[in-house]
Amino acid sequence: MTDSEWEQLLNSSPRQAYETLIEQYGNLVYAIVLNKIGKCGSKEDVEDCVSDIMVELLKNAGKFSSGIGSLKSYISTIAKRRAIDAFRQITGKNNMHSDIDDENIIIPPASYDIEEETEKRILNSNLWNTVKSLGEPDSSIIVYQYFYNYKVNEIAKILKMTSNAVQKRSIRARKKIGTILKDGDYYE
Amino acid sequence: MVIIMNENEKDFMNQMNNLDDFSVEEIAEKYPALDENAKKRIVNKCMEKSGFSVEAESEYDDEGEIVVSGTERYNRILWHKYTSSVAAFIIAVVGITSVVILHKNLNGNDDFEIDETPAVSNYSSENETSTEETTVTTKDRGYVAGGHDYANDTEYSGIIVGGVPQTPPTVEEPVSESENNNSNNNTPPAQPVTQAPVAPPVTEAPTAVTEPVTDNVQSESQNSYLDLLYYVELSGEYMGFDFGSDGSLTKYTFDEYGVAMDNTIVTTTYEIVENQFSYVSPDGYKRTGTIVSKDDIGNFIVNFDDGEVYNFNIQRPDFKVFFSLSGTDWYWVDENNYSENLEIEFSEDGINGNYIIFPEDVTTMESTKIPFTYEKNGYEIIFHVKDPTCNILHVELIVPDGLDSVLALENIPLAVEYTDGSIKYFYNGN
Repeated sequence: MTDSEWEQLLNSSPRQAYETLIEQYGNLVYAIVLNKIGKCGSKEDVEDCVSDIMVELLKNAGKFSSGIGSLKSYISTIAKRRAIDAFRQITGKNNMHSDIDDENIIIPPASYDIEEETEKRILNSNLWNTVKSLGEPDSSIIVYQYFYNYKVNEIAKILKMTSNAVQKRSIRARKKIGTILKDGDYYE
Repeated sequence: MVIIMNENEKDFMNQMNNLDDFSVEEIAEKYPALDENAKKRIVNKCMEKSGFSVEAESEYDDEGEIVVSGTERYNRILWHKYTSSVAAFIIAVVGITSVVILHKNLNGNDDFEIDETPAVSNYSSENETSTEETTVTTKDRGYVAGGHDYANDTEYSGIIVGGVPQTPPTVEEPVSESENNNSNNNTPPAQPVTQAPVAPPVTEAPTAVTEPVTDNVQSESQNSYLDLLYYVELSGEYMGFDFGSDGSLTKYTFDEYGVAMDNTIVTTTYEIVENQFSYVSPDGYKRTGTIVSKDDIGNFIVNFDDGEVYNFNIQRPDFKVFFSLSGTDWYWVDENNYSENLEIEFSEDGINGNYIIFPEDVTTMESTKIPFTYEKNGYEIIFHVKDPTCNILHVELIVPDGLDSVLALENIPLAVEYTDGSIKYFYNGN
């Protein structure tokens, strides 16, 4: 579906538009949101945020023009902004109800250290390259377990493996990732 | 399965949740996470937030259905299903146990009712002459509920005897026909019967009191491979028996792949004295037998006194050779060494000997070439693709003459059973 076709659909049937939008970009938006609020929000929070983004996209359908770039980039940008808003909301809400000494609470940094943040991003990019280099099904296991936060038995179901095998592979895979990153293969 | 996440895992998870945009896009594309239910939920939320009725356009999916506005479909959370199943199972077990106990008690009373007239009359006539009977009923007083001394109520003394069928006497009595008819179905048919006393033989009531055995059956669900247990074929299905050092006995049932689906921990005792094997089940039923065969591996055969023969097998005999391998799998040849060439070693001592080396091109084998057969030294290995998307192969091993069968699970030793009955183990995994 081209961007212009997409625009037409948005104006015709809302449900169908949402269904198509989610079918095409749902996973992207979900992953972006999860990457931002996965650590502090629940699954419901993530889905809620995804639906907010979809609603915003539909409401602002007229603002998008194929001249300003691809629809995918447009959606990604909206998704990131909304996810950051959600992150602030959730962490704010959690702080109201939680002990300040709780180590698990993620408090937004007072000052944003660009250098440190960039370094982290590079490190994490290397991590992702390392995960990819594991090959299947280990990459899948790591992604589902540590990015999507799936349980071992859920992963086992998806990959049609036993839970025990998934668990063992996950341990081996993390060991291997540790070894590769320690050896500096990706720091060259 | 409870997974405790350690600090390293948390750290790893934090790193995985802080990826750059490009990586996230790649993950979203390669590993889609939204299933159909999640998509529906999100669409419904979108419709609600946009001010549309959730069912407004559901006619695309549910043509002809009555549409009710202001409601939304409830997608049941998955764990509810399992919790409900477990709860239902527990309720069923409790219910059945209660019914069985009630049934037993009622049967006991029925017995009494049938024999009421002679029992009372016999007792009444004998009561004046026999002092033994008083002693016996006093001993029985401990079983009578409510602390009421029924023993001194002449007219109810028959109930004391007939109404306590759970009490296993140490003296076995000749079984009356009425009792045989009332024997409960939940005890094995061929068990050595220890019967409760019936009304007439009051004078032969137990001389030693045995506490009624409590039925301590606990159930829990689990889904895991088991490292070591005995398999016994019962009614065409394999049941796992795990004998604990504390005398506990755990029974497992399995799915078609040999994964233990649930286990029932039964508090009981077992004993092996020389060649005699015996165990006591929670209802007090004791079964004894003779161990007629035991090999070095640990398999043994018991001829039970009731005529049944159990083969306690350390490996499940009907198991097919299926274990998962993939291009990036490691196959341990010993504790410290592993190979990415998917190497299996067959030897007498499990360390040195002839190798079957899986071909290098296994890793790049395409699904169109499946099933792929590899032959070497009379061994035939057939690869089947289980799931092409993650390149997991199922491997079937056909062994040459001289070997009967090969038994393997992913996480337990690969066992080769030779025609002479011996079994050799080859280890997969650390």
